[in-house]
Amino acid sequence: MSFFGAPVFFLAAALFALGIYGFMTRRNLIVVLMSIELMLNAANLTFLAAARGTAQANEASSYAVFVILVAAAEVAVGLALVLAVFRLKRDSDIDAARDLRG
Amino acid sequence: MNLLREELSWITPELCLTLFACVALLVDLFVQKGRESVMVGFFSLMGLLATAFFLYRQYGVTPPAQPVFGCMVVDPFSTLFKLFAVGALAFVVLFTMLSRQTRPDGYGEFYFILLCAGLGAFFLASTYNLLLMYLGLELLSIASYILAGYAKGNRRSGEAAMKYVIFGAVASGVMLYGFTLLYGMTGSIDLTVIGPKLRDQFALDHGTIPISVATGLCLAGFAYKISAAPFHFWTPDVYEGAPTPVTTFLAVASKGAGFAALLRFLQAGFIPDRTLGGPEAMMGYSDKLGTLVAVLAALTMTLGNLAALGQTNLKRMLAYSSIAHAGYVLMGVATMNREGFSSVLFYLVVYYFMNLGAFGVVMYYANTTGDEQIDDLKGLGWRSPLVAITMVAFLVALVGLPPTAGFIGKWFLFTAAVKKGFLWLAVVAGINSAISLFYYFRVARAMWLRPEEEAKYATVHASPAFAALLLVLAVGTVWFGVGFDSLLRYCDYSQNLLR
Amino acid sequence: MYFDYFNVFVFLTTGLLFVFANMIVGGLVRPQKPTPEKLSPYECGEDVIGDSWIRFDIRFYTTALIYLIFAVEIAFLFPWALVVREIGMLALVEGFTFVAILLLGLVYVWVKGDLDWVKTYNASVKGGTEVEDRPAADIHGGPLPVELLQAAGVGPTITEQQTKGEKGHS
Repeated sequence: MSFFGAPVFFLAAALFALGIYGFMTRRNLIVVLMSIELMLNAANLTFLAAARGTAQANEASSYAVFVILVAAAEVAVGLALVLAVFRLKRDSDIDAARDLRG
Repeated sequence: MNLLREELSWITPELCLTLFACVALLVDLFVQKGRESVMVGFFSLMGLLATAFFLYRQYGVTPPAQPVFGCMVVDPFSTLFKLFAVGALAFVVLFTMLSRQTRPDGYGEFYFILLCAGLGAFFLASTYNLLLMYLGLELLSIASYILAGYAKGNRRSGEAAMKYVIFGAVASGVMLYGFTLLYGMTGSIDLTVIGPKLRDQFALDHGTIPISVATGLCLAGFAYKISAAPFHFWTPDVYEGAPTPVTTFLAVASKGAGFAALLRFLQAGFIPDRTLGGPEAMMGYSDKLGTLVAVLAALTMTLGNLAALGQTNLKRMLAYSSIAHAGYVLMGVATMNREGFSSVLFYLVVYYFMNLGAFGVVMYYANTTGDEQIDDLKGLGWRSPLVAITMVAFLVALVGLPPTAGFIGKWFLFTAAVKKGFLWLAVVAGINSAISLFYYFRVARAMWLRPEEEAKYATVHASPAFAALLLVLAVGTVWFGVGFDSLLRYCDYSQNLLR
Repeated sequence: MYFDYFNVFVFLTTGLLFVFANMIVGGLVRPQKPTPEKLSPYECGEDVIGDSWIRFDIRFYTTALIYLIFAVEIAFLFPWALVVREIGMLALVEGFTFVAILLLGLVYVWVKGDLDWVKTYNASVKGGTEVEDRPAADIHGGPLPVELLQAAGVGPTITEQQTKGEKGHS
């Protein structure tokens, strides 16, 4: 349980909270994607911090590599879709996406 | 080397699916132009058939005691969900081949992505390893984002995909953070290790706040995948905007895999072994978690049903209905015991038949008329009786009336909830079922209770292949309402071997 | 131990001081007679064309994506290369399977013509009689949307004058 006392855990939690905050408040899709990156990096940091100094340090690094891979794939798809929508609407604001409601 | 060969033999279904996904890409490159649709679809179906064969061979064989390669669990539970995913994929491929809505310019990539999504569902259903669970979820999700936006140049499809990717990425990010917290507390990403470690921590009585935060974050991710409240907002938009075969896939296979992972997560990590007797704090925590899920279930089904009442678009109505059904299924999850979980499995199989059928009818209707409005269905019953009759069977099952499988499935869920002491939840679910009768009935009324002269569209006969598909699904829906013994036994069996 | 780092610190400070001191001295001593030619950036002797914050072609985006994929692939291959000898045949086969699947994707896009600078749109036309040679930019909706970047706060602010200048040169 001592792990939760470590400063780096608070850093990760702060990063995660920033990501959530950005996702909630920003209307621009690219900034929202950046916020999501922040959240994933917070998770990475927690992985690495939790295993720091233990026998599992290498293991945790490999998990982080997988998360980075997923983040890259997600952002690639996300950006492509944002661009596709932008071409149709000429607007990257979240509120512009309002064809589907009800 | 022998050990390696044995381990590889356990993951033949996954290898087979991967191989055929690649084959689908290659076939598209080498086949003569203009024939890709048929050929690529054919090869995908062959791949699914082969995968189903390998899965069938695994069924009944004593499963390996240890996870394969340290992370893949092969047991009847995962085999059930894999068969479920393969069946759903086969129907989606067939729907795509018959549909006019999805006419992509690269057939190869469409089927490739579809099969990859299936692979993600495979991993999601068969692992206790949090990292592999996350990777499976992402493989499934990222493939679904692309599929949802597949109708290029269509504003609604693009918008649906964009909303999906934003919500999905956030939800999976939240879930991943929850996983890392669990890792931080226990030093392991294997749920079978995390469970006992958590038990030790409960015994130390440090308070449950860190564990609650971690569990809550993880549950948020699962709730998104099964579109349960309060993470259901994306569902109606995405279901409406995505091409109908893709919607079918999302509603059936994606949701099923999400439930599989949720069941494993709760079962391995948070349900104390009653026979061994865990620390008091853990018992209390497990019950609290069950109550939380019960509240979510009540919320989900109520929100879904109330929103569905006002819908005019058939696809959107079915989307809200699928939210409501996630609520019903969560009722079984909330019991946190074996009986409840096995009723969840049963209901998911039933749900598979009735939802595939209902979306199939929507696709037929949208294909022939280019229209998805409920009111414009009027007179369909007189013009295309076969389609309309099967639709009525699916609707009756969705409401949960006898003699269909929907009734039996709901019966088991209700019984499990009442036995656990969630009488209020059963009452809420009962009221909800009554509400759902209204909007399902509206569809039936439009089809049958209007004179033929009012019909908006001329007679369109379903192609024989399509009619056969619908008939198979309708027969399944009714059959499991009467002869449900074997299915129930299989679900129970799958559940009992869950470690 | 701290003493060693102190040496480094002294070395760094001296270096920085030397650079900045010379710049300041040079600025005080040299004559200053600026002309428009002298102030413009040096572009291999050519006249300057527009701002460097111009719209990049959307096609670079595809290239960037492919780079991203293979960059992440390398992140997996480095750890793999470290242990491949220990694990033996299995690791070798796995590694090659991994790369083969990635290559399959690359070959697919290549054959489909998505990597071509000017995409020829006859692949999807049945029979192949109707051959259209449209530049990809038309289909994809033109260059990378600067508005998108601007709204994100990472793009340039285009003044009216700059826009005119761009048009004039192109």
